[in-house]
Amino acid sequence: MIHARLVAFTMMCLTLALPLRADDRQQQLQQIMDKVGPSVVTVQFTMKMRGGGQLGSMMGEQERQVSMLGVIVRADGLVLVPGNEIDPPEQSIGGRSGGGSVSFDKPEDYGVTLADGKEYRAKLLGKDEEMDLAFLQIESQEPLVLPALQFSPDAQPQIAQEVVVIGMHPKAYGFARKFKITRVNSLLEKPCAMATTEDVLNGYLGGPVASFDGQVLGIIGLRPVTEEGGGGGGGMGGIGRLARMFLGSTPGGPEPTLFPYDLLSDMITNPPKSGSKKPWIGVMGMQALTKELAETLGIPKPGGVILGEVLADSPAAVAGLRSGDILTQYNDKPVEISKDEEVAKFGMALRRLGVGAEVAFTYWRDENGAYASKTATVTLGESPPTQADMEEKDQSEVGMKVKDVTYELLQRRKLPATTKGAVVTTVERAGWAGLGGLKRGDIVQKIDDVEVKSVEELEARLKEAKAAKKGEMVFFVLRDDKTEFVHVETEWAPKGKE
Amino acid sequence: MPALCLLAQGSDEAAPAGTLGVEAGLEARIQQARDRVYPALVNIQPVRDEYVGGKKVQRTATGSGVIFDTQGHAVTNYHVAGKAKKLIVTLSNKEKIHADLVGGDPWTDIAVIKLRIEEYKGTEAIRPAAFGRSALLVEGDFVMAMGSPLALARSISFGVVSCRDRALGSDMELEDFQRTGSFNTWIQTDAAINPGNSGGPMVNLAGEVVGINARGNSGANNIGFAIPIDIVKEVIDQILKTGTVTRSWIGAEWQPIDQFEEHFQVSGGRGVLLGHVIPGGPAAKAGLQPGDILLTYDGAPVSARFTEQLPDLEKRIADTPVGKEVSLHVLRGGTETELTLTTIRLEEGAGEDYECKAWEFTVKGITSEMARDLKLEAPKGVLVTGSQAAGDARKAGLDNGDVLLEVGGKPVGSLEEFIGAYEQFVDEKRAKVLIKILKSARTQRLVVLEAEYEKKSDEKRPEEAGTEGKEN
Repeated sequence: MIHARLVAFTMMCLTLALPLRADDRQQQLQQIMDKVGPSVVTVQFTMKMRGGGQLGSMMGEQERQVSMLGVIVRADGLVLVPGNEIDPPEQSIGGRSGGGSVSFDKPEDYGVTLADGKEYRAKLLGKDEEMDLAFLQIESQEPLVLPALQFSPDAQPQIAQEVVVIGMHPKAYGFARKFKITRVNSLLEKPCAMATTEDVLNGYLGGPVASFDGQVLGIIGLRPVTEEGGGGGGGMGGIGRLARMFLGSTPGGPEPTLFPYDLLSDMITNPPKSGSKKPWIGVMGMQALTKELAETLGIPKPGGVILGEVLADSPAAVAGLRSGDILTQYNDKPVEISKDEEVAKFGMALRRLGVGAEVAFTYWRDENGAYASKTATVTLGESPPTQADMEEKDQSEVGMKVKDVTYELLQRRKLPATTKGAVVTTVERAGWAGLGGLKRGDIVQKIDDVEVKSVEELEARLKEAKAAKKGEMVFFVLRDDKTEFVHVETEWAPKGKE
Repeated sequence: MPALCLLAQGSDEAAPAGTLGVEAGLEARIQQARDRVYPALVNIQPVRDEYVGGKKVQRTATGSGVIFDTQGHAVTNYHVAGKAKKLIVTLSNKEKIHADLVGGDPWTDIAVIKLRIEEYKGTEAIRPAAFGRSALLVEGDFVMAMGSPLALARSISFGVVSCRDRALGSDMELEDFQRTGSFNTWIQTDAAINPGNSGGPMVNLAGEVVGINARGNSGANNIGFAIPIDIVKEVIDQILKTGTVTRSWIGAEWQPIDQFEEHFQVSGGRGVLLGHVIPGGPAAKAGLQPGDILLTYDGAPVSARFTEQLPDLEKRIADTPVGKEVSLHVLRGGTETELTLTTIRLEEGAGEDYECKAWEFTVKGITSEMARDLKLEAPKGVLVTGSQAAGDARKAGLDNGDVLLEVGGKPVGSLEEFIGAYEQFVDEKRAKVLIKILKSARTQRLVVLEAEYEKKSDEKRPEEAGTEGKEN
């Protein structure tokens, strides 16, 4: 007994600045739960999963019931949810010719259940790729006044601060609310001041975080993955996702992180809408102008962003920027980036300016070893679609699936931006295409000497071949970066048997 | 039937009749054939520099070879002796002598070495082996593989020609960026070929060398490949004359016409299909396009209906004198046109290696072939091939696959320029060097290399002296 009391006493001394009696602490927690709990909702929906490639025949189409935690962040029914679960990206599974992929169909609508049991329908507004947060809008005939989470805008998380995280049990426990006491274990600089808290993943993702005096500090998210590792900072002007694909690596795993209110406020006022234009400047691999680099380059002071690769025909390229240019000011504001970890912050700042915004940059350019100060005005463009955004079209008779070629694919494979065609995404080994020797990744550029610039044109060519009952087709493809002819034998079904 | 004929020839008057006699006759033939080549069979232990983990190390291996003239020249594989600094040769009578590299050709994986006969202490004369003609081989012919499998010198294995013209594709790499085997098909055999057999002779029952054993298939049983001796003879001739093999290049990639004959309206086994034209190469400059059917090259008709015929065409093109204006007849869209192109010299695929000892990393010069592989705009800069753990270069962020463009403000267009800049900065003991790189041969980045010159002189020397263990 003595031993047990001693332990309890020691813990209290350590954990609380002012030792409180147990029932005071109980009361505090109760107040927090009362204040924050009603804003925590259950989001439920049915997700359709479809297998592509060889997986397609194995798994076909499957349905999955998903439930997750959401937080009402605006009284008119705006609900914030973790992004990855609600809108998972297509996942490809290895295998050279026989690989496959799993894609997810987003449901038409979502069920939202409040703490008091009230049920609503909601629509997905959109997702912020960088923060991996999504927003749902509850639909209702009458104007809504829901218990929105009341953030404390001025409260800044402190290192070692004790906090309460509110979460939710899974369906088996009736979605009962739960909480956990933890501490802010570090303060991070990227992309803005954030604080990580450990072991709050299961059931706490998306959940509110409050201090013991009842201030709501933010929510638990997964630390945004930035691309500065090795290849230099990405994330500029919405290219985050692009750059991640280009570099093909995700440094470290995501960690549960406290996203403070100042990171969320813009999004809550103006939630991202899917299909809305994502701003894009077209630069990959940004690097901070560190103190050391500034000294070595003979640039008066550190702080700036060195451009790694300016993508062809991108807004940055059109404005005349080149790789190696060092941005020091944008719209008369200094670029105060002197560590590589901070590069993502600059990307976010630019992104907030939106598509069509004109950004006046001051930059240094290396002119035969001497740096000259220059200016350029970049009009932020719209982020080009990625290959994952393209619809896969099944050419079942020929035994392959194809997609339109995007700028992102061409950049990734270092092919000229003017390259046209339809890219083969899946080949059935024993199908006509497979037997003929077409391979996954081939970009079909011609069929029987007629140009193929898109999936639509490819389908038209196949239709013609079918109508003419041609016994063979000659594909002209770009494989890796070399062209090649592929002979495909066809056996279109005789008329009346189709 | 051929086997029986051979046996009849081999069965001497002493051989008893019946099955036993057939066996004895064959054995006698094999042993006669062996005796003709065995004295010329050598085990080769090369010592060469390899660039591993950011530093130059000396490594050794075991290979095989065969002496082909009275001056003591022996032929082996490029991958055995082509980059050797030192060669220790053991004859089949167990006598050891040193040898020197005469020249090598990575494209056919052939090297020629010369034994220092003056060192020879044996009593019997060194007898060179005779070359046969690989063109006369047919499937089923008896052959022996001689050499040092797994370093077990003086070994003989026996089998048949499994296939006389195996096409192994043109994508085989001898080392990074160095393709090989583009100019020949291979003799496939079930005579056991293991690591260490490389460079050893494939011998027919007449006791002639008909191939140079070069590779086996580790995932299978009894599938080994030899380079046909007809090709090897030409390579040896050139190496003996000039120390190297000069070839032409036109920058075109061909496909067999077979399945495409109907589509492109060609018949009679004529022509070869042009699949890819390398931008900026002679074929591109001459106006050749994918889809063209090449009918004649330099006045002679061309035919490649099957993949197995492509190496022959590649060789014909390569054998054109460098810089020659060649006329071509091409079928394009059903009509014949004549074009003229000027060949250029085929470069080696892989650039030269270099160790930057003071900065603790290794680089390689960038050839045109490497620039294409790395998808660089031009063959500029040097490629980082390794950086030592916790070394200066690694700390600065340099690693495999990075391309160095500028060092200390100096553009390094070639390996020579790079070495010039490097040596100058090391002489100056420059503490901080700004290096402009293409990270992963793609994204430009600036790094500052902080060099510590003091520690190296003490630590590095003993390590350099050590040599690595034996490998096959």
